[in-house]
Amino acid sequence: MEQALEIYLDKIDRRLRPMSALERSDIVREIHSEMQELECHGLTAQEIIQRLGTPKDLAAAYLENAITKDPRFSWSRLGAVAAFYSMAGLAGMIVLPTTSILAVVFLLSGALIPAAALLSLLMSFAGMEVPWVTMQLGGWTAPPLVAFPIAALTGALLLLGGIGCWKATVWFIRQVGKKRRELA
Amino acid sequence: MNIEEWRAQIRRGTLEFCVLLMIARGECYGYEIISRLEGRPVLAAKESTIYPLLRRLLREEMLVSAWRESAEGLPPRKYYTITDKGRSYLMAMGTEWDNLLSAIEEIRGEHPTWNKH
Repeated sequence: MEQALEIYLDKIDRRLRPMSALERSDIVREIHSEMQELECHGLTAQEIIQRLGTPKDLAAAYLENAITKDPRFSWSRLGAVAAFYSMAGLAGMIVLPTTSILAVVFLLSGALIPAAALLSLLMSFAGMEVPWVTMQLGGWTAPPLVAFPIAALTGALLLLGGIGCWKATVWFIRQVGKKRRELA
Repeated sequence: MNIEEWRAQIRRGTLEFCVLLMIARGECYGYEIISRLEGRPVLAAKESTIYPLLRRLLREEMLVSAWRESAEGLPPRKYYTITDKGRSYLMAMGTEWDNLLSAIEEIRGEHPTWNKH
């Protein structure tokens, strides 16, 4: 196989880093197989590369499909978002980091705040105090029994906010993908 | 609105149906699907469309795949086969497709001058 094609596959592999190693090597192997197929049909390395498009676009097509077709949140998908945003241009540089970071922060806080309040509540039943968990509203410190429902409500609102931000992230990527297809 | 754009939209909406139909008739590998589509300009799609689509169908368990060695001089190929889930999805798509076609024909029938010449 010609060196230009080896370099092409290497670039694809690097751009797909947010995907699992297993999936990545399978993708590269499949493109490799197609390249050999095209070589058998008499295409030159240059013609093959022209046909497949730039490694950047081909990798982006895989990443885009992996992100937008499954709206659930996961860390590996956040990685895929990060890789995609590096290709999404100026608007992406502002919108995507904001919505995706907010999504993570909201989701984490939404889980942590009620968990901490619950811990404090359970410890107070046992007659103990958790000094690093307090809820202060202005000058008033809420006792654990009151703090827990407030924390649960706050947590729920934050989780909703997090889900909203994540949906906005996925929506934006879809728009960018659509735009690119229209330009292509 | 130019006709190329409309064609691209139709292709985008129906490619999944066509790819599943092909694989339902017998296992296929990626390049085979692409070259068969190439013979039909209205459906022709690039590698950057077909391979990610196949991968999504795998993830959704509509397809399964297996690598297999080929004859001398040819590369090993990744063959796709349709699953039961894929088959029932395909059946549902077929029904929707028939519904769409008859609805369009019905509307066209209301405007006889727009019909095929």
